[in-house]
Amino acid sequence: MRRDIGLGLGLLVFCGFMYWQAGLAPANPFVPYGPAFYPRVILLVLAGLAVWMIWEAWAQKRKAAAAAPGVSQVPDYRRVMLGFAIFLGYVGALSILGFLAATFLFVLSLSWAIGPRRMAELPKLVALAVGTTAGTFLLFEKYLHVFLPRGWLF
Amino acid sequence: MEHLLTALQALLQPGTLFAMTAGTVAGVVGGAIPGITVTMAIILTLPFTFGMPPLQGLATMIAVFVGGSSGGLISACLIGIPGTPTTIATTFDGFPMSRKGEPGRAVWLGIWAACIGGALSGIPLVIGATQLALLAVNFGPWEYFSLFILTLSIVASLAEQSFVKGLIAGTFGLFVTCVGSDPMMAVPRLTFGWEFLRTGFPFLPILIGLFGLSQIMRDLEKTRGGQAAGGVDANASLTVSHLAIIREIFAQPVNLIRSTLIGLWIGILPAVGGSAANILAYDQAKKASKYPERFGTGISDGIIASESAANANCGGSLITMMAFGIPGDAVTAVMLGALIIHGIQPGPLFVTTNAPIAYGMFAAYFLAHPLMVLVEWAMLRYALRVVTLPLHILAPVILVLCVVGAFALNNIVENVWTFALFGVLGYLMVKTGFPLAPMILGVVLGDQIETNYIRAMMTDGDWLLFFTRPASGVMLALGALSFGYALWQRRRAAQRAAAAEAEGEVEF
Repeated sequence: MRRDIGLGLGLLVFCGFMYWQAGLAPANPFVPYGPAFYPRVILLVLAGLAVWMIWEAWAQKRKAAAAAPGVSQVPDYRRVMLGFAIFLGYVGALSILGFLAATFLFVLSLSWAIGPRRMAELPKLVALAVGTTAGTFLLFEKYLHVFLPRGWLF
Repeated sequence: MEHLLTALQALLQPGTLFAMTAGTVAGVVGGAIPGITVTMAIILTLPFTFGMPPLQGLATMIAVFVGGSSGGLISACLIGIPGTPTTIATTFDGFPMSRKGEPGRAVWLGIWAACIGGALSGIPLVIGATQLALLAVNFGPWEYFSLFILTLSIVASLAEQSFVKGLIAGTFGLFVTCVGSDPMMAVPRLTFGWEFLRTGFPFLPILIGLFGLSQIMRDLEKTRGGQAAGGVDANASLTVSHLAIIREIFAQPVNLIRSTLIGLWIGILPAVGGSAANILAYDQAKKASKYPERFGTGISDGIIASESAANANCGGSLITMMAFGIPGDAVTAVMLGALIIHGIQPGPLFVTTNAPIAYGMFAAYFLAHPLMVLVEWAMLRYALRVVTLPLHILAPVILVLCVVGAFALNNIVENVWTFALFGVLGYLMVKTGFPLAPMILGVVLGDQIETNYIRAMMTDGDWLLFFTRPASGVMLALGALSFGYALWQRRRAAQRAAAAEAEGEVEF
């Protein structure tokens, strides 16, 4: 519940900042509703809903019964963080290394990082990385004529 | 009828049948791979049709369209990522059903519902294309605005545990569409001086980010190295009794007909697109259901509603395109181009002056549906093999396809960053209890709501017109009713749950 209160407050700050930002767009005298009108209406609604969520979370916090937490599988957030880090690294590397090198490294590193991490698996993972890179390159660049990102290496 | 049978005979020639089958394969594959759109598949097929006779070329394009509308259900049901926006709502029940060990039932309910719904929508296409399109053309910005508000009222029933979080997600989706140039004067707003944002966030990277990346990351939480993705059991089978599946669909005639009509009508309305049809049909099925609380847990009703509406939408789009030359979405815009390339000008007199081509297109539309079933039947065994691969093999490949799909939209890396941004956001939203479906609905509808509201107010400043124009007023009233009814259903479900809990306590 404390988390929802924090989220609600964060949302209110976000709405306030965006409300101010929306007002910076120049209005046109010939249009009755300027570019800021619609975003501001939406942001006001969003802010109202954030207040509602804070109020609801506050009310539940007060009423909260000391219920025992249920037994459930504990999520492995380390794998998720690793997954996101590798993925974001890949997106960043696309413009630097180019599609071919970045994709090869991404597939190899992600499949290794989230896989069973056995040396015996490595040839299979390298084959996967080569196959995925070559397959997508041939399909998209050669057949579908999508000009994939180029970088330092390729 | 005679015209239709003659056209069907022409289509059954081996060359045309082969071209249509190839088109269906292209559509289904394009629809099934997250990141490759039906629009992309249809654009790629277009050059191959230039050398064909007009009817053969158009029949091939229709086959891509029909196949593509349904192809997305394969990834929606098996990996929880809608391959196309027309299958968003299929994910809600298709994926849980697959996870419960019934991937075959989930996929085949979708395929047969798409086939039946799509074929049913062909009847009004043949009988009254022009009359129906005339109705749609009479819609002004007031009616469109009210229609989108009616669709937006669905947010109330898409909200999961927390009602207010569902509303926040939906409103945030609307806000996302505010980024970029305003639709009237193209004044940039909320772009922070970033050129890429002048056109706003592109829809496809948002969709695959919210559903694709966040789903893979949630699977990562639960699986250990070498385990299969959380979607489908490796020993699961796609073998089903087709008769039983068809019987299950026809056991819900009201759901089927209602969803088909919704899909058809949304398809007829220009520029609304197929994404709204499946969600609206899903919502109406949930509202009309005696057990709305079971929606989202893997029940057939949701899949039938979503898929029959998605393919009925194709019939509707063809009506407007053929009768008025107005494309309903990007896919029909390309098809319109194909018609013009083949020297055919669609319009109110199209059916009477070009009867062989028009009826040929009707016949192709009907024929494309059984072809779609056959192609999907042939492809499913491979699809299952793919989705039961270990997650560390499957996830990188899916992500690369999503990245390339996002990039290929207009060949800029910023689209990939959008995909990543909304992937992270989607994951955080799920972890903090915000449902994704209302947000995507907000993104689908945001631009249209703003454009039609401003247009209406610029045409006539009297806002009462939204209520006094009959169709607009009815749709706003329906929107309010729909919202209120969803609230009432939630309250009733909560009361029932509380009563059941109390009974349980008494028994102990």
